[in-house]
Amino acid sequence: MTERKGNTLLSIKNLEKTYQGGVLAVKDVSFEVKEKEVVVIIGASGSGKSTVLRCVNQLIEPSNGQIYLGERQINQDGVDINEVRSDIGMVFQSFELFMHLTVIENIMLGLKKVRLFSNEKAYEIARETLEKVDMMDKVDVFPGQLSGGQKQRVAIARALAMSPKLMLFDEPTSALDPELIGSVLQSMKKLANEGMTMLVVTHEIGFAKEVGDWIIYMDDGEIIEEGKPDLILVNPKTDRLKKFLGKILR
Amino acid sequence: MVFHSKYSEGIFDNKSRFYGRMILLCFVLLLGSFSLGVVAQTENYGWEKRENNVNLNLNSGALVDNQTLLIVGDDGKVMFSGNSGYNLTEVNIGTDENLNDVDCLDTVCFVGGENGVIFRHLDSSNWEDISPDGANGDINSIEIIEAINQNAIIVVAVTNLGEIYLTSDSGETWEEINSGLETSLNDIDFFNQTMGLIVGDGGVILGSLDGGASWGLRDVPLEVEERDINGVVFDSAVRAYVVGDEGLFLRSAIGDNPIIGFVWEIWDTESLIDFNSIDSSSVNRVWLVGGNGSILMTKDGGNSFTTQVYNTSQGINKLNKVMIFNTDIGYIIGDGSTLLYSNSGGEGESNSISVKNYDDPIVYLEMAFPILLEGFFGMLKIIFFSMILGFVLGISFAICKTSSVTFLKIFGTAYTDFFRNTPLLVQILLIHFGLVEVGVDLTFGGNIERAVMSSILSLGVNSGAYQAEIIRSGILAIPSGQMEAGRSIGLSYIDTMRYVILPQAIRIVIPPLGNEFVNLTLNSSLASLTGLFELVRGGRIIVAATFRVFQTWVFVALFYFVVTFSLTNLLRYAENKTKIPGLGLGGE
Repeated sequence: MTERKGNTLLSIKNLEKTYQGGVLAVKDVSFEVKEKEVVVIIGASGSGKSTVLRCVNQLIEPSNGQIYLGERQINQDGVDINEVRSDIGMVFQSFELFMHLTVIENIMLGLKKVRLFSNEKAYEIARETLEKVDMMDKVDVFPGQLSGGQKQRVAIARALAMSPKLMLFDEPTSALDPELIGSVLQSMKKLANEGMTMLVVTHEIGFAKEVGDWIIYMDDGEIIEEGKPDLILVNPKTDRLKKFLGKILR
Repeated sequence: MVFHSKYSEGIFDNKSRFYGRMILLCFVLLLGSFSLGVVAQTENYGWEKRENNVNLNLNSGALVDNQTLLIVGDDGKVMFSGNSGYNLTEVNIGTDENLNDVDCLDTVCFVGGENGVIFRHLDSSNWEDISPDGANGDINSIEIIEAINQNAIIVVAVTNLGEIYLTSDSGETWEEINSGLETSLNDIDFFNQTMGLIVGDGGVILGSLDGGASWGLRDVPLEVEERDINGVVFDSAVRAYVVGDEGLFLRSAIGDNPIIGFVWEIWDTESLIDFNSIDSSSVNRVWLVGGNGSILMTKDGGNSFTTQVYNTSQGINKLNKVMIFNTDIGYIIGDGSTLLYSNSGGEGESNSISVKNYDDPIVYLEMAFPILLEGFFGMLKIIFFSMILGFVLGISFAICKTSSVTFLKIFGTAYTDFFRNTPLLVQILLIHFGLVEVGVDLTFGGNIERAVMSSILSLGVNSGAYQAEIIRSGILAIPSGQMEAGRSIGLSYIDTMRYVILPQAIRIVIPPLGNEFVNLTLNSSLASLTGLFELVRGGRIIVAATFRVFQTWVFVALFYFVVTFSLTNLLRYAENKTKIPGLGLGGE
């Protein structure tokens, strides 16, 4: 396997998830995310990539395996999961903005209630963050009045404002109209360039190729192939990845 | 209903107009329920003086019907009035003795006076002197016991020398019955043809059970034995009363002998007036008259009295006889040609509400409105606190029911199932009357009225169960992603509930919550069962006092309508105010 530089930020070992009813969604998945790296998980729908992502901040409780953030195993008793989650930002496919709060309030909520910042400081941070995603003109509007792309950028800002060590993106562009995808990817690229560690589940192969430092291909709950994008996406070794790329790039 | 849809916006103005018209209609109905065109009455309530120019002391009288009466006075004067005492027609019966008593039955009248004179007036004949032979005493009282026919009228008369005269042939012959007494006998009253009472000086009460043929002395309380008894009334099978000097007032009691008149009890009138006469319109409604122009009335058999003092211009104000025709109409006769009349049961405006003319909307409203208002505020207090209690319980149990903790789920379900599947009425009874029995103090050591507390509690927990279901549905309507998003930024479950889920869920359920608040308001009427002073109880009090059933309940309904209507609009306002732009659920 090709060399990867830097310290390991996130390390997943032998992760398994069995849903109620015995559906085995993730089988023995292990991988690492280095600091300042953008790791992209690709794969067909139902291949278990979102489950892996959600297991990281334990929105889904893993059935087996260990998850380390830095040196610390975060899926064990005695770990304050709320504190852990505040260090891991997450962006959802369907945005999940708080519909009853304005854009700025959406971002301030976590700062005030989790980070326990004062109103003024939270406001300041929220504005700075919104600036990064080019949403300064929509500070006081409600999410319901935004377009999908704008919503997703606000969602990115909401996660970013918490100054997370790691950001998780769960198919952030899948629910968007094609013409809106660009702006969201732009924000993500900007984030990557600033050195944010990111774990992204996406169907955007172009984005993976351009921004990704490491690509993981999953199918049927297993990692089939992983590697640098220019290798794995240009010359896939397995037939399954070849077939997948063939379908998606057509 | 407050169910909101995006279509309701356009017709909101029409709706307001509709409701405005409905309220107007209610008012029109309400006004219609008063008898319109009521003549403003200038009735003089209480006792009203009938002016006359007789100018002598009137001693007694007898009623033939409600407006026909015969009055006897000093100097052999007999006067007749056929129009409630407005005009007195003097009748010369052929004596100038002072006349002390008269009794009439239809057109038959018997008059008794000083020096043993007795006159009679039979159908269409003149007055005849039928004085008993050898009667020396002054006839103090005379009473017709029974009139079998013109020639067989049974009459009894008593004198100041303790004599009792009885005739059974309309006064042709008199039989003197030996009472064994020499004290003055002052009054006679018969309950029916057989049972009668005679009272006299020295605490004398005589009773007859055979139509006056024989008389037996009755026991009186020891302290009464030296006192003078002046009047007796025996109008009821269950009770008789006597009155005497210095505020003496006795009431018959039930002793070993079930026949009335054998046992007597003193009842305190808190008065030292010499009472001269007594009459009643029912068992408990009794009038006493006497010196100093005093008229005492009791409505509860002597437990409490209202006192009126009638003062003549001449300062002569001894009242000698009270004659009560029925609950409303009565006459009082006294010295100084005093004749008083009442058609309001002897009650003035000031001391009673029952004689008011509630046909007059002003009079009705003056009485009803303060009560309705008090009930209204009583209700507001209850619904305000039970709404808060219900809302707090509703949110708590909604969270329990939507949580993943099995125990909380079961707890919440048990609560809502119990209170939604049992009648509110039963819950009120259980909480108000049941909790006391098992030792739960709802008054917090007597600081809060128990009816208030149990009403708030029962309405609150009942509404809490319904609100829990409503809020639960609201929570379930929020996409699960919102919870994930909240948790993903590090908020705890409870914080996410508090800052993310509930603010959205409550907005969604404002319309059904509004319905529940309206229900709670209407259900609060059941709290009247606890004795709580709220609208329904106020309504019942008004109905009991005024007998205006329809208009009272229309009023009560109107008050409820005002509350629920305002509540509905308030919640609609709240709904619009809290509407989130762009959020489909809260309305676009």
